[in-house]
Amino acid sequence: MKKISLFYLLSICLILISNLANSQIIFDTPLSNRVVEYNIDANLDVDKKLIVAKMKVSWINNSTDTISELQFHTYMNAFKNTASTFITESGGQLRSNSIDVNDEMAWGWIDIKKIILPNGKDITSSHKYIQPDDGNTADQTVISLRLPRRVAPGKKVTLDIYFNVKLPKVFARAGYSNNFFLVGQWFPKLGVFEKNEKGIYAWNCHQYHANSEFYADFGVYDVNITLPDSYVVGATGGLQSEKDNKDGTKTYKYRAEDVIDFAWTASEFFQVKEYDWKGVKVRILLQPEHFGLADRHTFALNAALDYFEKHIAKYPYKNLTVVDPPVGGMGAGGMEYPTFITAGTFKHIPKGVKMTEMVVIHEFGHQYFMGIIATNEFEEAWLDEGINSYMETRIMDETYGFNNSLIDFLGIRIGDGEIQRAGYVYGGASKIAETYHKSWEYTDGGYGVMSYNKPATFLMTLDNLIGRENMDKIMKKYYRDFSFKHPKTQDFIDIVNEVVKTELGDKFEDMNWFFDQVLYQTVTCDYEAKSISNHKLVGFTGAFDSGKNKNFKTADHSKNNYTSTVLLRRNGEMIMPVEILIEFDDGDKVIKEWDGKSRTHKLTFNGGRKVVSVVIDPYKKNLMDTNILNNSKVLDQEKIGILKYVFKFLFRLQNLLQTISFFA
Amino acid sequence: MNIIKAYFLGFREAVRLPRPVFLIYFINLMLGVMIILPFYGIMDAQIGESIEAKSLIKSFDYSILADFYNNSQAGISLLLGQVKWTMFVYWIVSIFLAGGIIRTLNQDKFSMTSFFSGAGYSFFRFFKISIVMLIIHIFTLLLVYIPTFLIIGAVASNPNSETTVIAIFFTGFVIHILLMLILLMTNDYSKFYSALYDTSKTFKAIKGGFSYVFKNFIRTYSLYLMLVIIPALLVYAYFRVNAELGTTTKFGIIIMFFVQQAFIILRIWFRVWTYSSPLQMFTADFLKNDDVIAKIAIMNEWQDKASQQNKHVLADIMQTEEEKSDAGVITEKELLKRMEADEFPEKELMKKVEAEISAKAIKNQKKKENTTVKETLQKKEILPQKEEKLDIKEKKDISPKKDKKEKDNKDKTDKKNNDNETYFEL
Repeated sequence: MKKISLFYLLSICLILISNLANSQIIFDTPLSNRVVEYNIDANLDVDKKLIVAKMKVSWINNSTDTISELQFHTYMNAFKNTASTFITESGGQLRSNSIDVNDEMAWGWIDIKKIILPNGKDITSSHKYIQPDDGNTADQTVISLRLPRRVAPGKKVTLDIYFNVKLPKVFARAGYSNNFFLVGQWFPKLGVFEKNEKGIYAWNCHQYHANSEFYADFGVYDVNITLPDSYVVGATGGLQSEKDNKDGTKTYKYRAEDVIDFAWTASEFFQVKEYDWKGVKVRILLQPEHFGLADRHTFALNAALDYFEKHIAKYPYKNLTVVDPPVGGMGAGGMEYPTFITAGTFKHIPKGVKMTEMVVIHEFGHQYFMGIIATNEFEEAWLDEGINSYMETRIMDETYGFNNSLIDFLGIRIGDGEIQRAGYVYGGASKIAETYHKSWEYTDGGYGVMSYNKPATFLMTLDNLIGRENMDKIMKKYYRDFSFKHPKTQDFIDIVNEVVKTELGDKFEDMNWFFDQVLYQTVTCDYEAKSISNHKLVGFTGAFDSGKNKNFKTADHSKNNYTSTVLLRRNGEMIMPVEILIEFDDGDKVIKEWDGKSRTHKLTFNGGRKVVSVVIDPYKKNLMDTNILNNSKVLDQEKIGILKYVFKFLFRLQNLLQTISFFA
Repeated sequence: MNIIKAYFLGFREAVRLPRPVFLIYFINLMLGVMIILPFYGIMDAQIGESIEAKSLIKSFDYSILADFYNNSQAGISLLLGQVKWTMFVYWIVSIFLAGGIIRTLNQDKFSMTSFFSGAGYSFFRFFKISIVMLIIHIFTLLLVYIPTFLIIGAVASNPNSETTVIAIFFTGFVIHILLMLILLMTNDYSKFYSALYDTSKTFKAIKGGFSYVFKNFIRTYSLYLMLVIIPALLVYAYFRVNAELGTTTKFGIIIMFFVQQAFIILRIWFRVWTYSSPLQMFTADFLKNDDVIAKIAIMNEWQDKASQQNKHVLADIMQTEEEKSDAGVITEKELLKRMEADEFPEKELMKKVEAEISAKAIKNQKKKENTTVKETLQKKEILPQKEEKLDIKEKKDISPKKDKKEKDNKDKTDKKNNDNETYFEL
């Protein structure tokens, strides 16, 4: 036993020395607190879809507590069987891809083979699976490792972990498809030891869920990937070296600093497009049949890089890899890992359909929201997906056009922002839950709406309310204060309040009223222009005393004096300040403001002109309004706009009927 | 008859039928309007007084339309339910009208009486054919797409290339379209068969339709494809006009409405054409069959006689009491049975007709190629010459039991009273 331990110790020392010798420092000054350090040697058996790996992991206790337990994510076990929490929650399908339960190769798992302390002590038996979220004892996606010795504050613990990973056939996020491999959430990854809601230090290490998978500490990764030399490899961080092993395999050494995760990909078919963006080495790994779409990827990526640089901060890493999965591995598309994203496209996707661009921009945005500002996706997904969707909308709409950024095809034009609002308003889930909600606790669905669409919509509304300049100040400050940290919702709100108070103190004291409604409640917003009435003033009529006589007055129609009344309503529970545009028959327009609090609001105008129209929120600032059609009222409205669609509908219907006649 | 000739003769015949086209258009429009009026009501209630109505003129506005849909879901769902029923009604109506179209395509003069008589006469026959063909359509759909998706499933569980998936799906799709065209053609030819052979047997008609389509596959398929080209060009033209004219102004919207309605009328007319040209070809081929010629001549004579209730004429040529009682409902099968049993009363007549037609057919070989089916029929003396207006009694002149003098006399007297009679009912 001792001999074995000594052997292991020596081996690890040799590996460590070898690694250190090969490692090239990326950042002279660390960007993060680097709580963790991983050195991993992974050997991929492309036939068995198996990774045999050994890992040296170090963790620094940055808390004030002394601890005797470590918690790791072992997320590949989410794909182990139908009893796992992930499969239970997802039903074995994600984004219209599903697992083939009858295929043995479809399943995936991670086997912890050995855990050894630096002194050679094998503590493998000290680990056990725990289920902190749902108590599902069959779920093996989190392990608790009892340490024989306690780790004092500021001290480091180092372990050698030997593990095997059987990759699942990809249907959700990671796995393989033929000779394409997307290897994510594959190694035992430490959770975050931090203060919980009660202010007590504890492990924040969630199970792998259908809706969420990211929350980890920043650190440094040195990863050696060995696989057949015919494969093209891409990974988090930058390639440090590659070595021909003279046995038909190659070993690629990657290093990533100040990141929260490490993922990699390999395929025999990738075609690579590389270029430099302001010192960032960009690699796009494309399927051969998609190489013609490389420019679309590049244009979108550059648009995102430029936009983030201008409005938030320059992308801080030296590398960025974009992976285009094959059609059989599309389940791995649209994923985000530090300095490494997956997109997804189709060979014949029309230019006017910018789904590829949208995915590239969205996943790149995660470099900031989740990757650099490392929020807890499990507990506060809106900070991750919501803010990122908001930024995606801004970039898409400003790059490709406000009302056609997503689709401009066959006369159909849809903007990215419109889709976000549509998801919230029409998704049927606008009241399903509060946005501030744990991701695995959406018992009746609605995660996507509450985490992506609604936050994107209310942040666009906030943007409209306080102005783009102030919004940018907020985003910049948020980045400045919380990059390479783990901010919470309140941190973001505090920054919003701070900026708003400074810049718009006369208008808003704070924005708590706003976040209270959009984050913590399920209220919806709907303002309605109920009616317009114009009463001609004809003076008093009837009998009036004039001395002893009666003076009879009749209506005086000679003067054009009117009392015009506009009645507005608040149908929803949400309260938003709104502007009201009133137009008179002489062409004059007046803007009024309404705090939106009362259920009804009446505006009265006296004079020689009539009100002809009223519009609530004329500049469409309040995107939370669930019905923009009733926001206005126009007297004597022309129906031609309606007739246009009525004629179109009639024409389509007639055509449909005539097509049916061929079957008669 | 070659396909080019059938194509143009069919065109000529279809041009002659504006009234059925406008009748179908009227029904199409009315059914559409029944859906559109409530739709207009819903739209007016939602957007009528909104400033957003103006935005609808300018361009496609997703948010407005989506809000409209979101706030009118109940009403729109109801309308969509009605659309399904309207489709069903129009399908039934189309089956009904097909009988009228097919009958009137071979008449000199269009008459509504004749149109509806043909429609009513063929309705249940055509309805049964359409039902069976629809079932075949569904089976074909399953037959094509189940294997297609199984193959895609097998290949696409791990494909590296979407081209493979697209190719498989596209292959399935093309096969489906090609088969669908065959089935659509067969549907029409089955009706022609049913009409020309005057059979109410659904499967016999469908078998006849399939048999004709496959025996003359290149001709039938080419003709159908030729008929599809013009509507395809029409669709292209419509989109060009739409793009050029646009619907972003009041003028443009109104003009486009008329363009759209013209497009619908043309589509309906093309449908008549897709009946007419194949019918020309089918009838021409049908008439090449001498047995058929003889049978048609005799059966028409009998049927006309029966329908005119000229029992006394029929009695003259009937040999048994049983045949007399069956005069009005005699079937082709019975006819054949009698022919086989050599008990056919018009055996001599048939031989005569055969001989005459064969002789004329050879003589007029070249001329025949340049004539319409109707003209052919006229030349074969199955239809009267244009100037002539024969009736039942007139047809008796080809009976060997009547002498020529009697025929001539009857010609003169009956012609006056039978100008509008139909002589060759398909």
